[in-house]
Amino acid sequence: MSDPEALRVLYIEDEDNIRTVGQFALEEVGGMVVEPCPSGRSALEQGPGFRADVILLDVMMPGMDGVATFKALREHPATAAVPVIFMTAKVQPQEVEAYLRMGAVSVIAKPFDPISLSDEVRAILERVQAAPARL
Amino acid sequence: MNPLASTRAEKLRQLRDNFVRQIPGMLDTLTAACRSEAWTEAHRHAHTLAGTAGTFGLEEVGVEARSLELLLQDVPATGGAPDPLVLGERIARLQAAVTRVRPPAQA
Repeated sequence: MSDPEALRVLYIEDEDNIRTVGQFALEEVGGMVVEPCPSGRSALEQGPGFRADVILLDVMMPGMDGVATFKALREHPATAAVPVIFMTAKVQPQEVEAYLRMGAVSVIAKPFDPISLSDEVRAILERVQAAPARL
Repeated sequence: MNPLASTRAEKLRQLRDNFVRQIPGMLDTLTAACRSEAWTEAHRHAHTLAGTAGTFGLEEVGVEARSLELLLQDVPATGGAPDPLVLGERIARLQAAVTRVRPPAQA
């Protein structure tokens, strides 16, 4: 049975292998509760009922990409206020700034380290909670 | 290594090995897309291979796949094509990197 205090992560990633290792990293290493979504569309179906504390969102996905998914999640009352962290290989400063201007709280670079991913997510959320006025 | 860390390491090794078994097929799909001049599809396959390889610590494969991804990313949406010599070189480097990947542990 999962810890009721465990961080709840809506994890949106289309690539099966990356999603599997990411879920392992967050659950087994980080002790988090993870709802994996293979697409933006599935995130919109699964997200509202999951009550996530944070959303990890891949940028480059077929069909509904990360940006479109982000905007759609922002439109739904159940997910509108959930902090979103983009995950992408596109981490040039101007790209990161664009994601932050859009409303994401941070960007995690891919490829990620499975052992430290959960620590990175926690550190981001701690910064968010400590300084919400700067968002 | 403590037992928990050992279990996690073993699980990650299994996930890595599962991916390594898929690489030849992924490379075939990528090169087929290039031969068909399906550049958007090829770009996507290169992106997937680059990201997944990097996540599993297959740095050389990840770097070469990323190099190919960046080449394909710059192909115009209509009527464009990458320089065939550069494309051929980057595919060859990726293929060579794949041959150097440590095979999965025997079951």
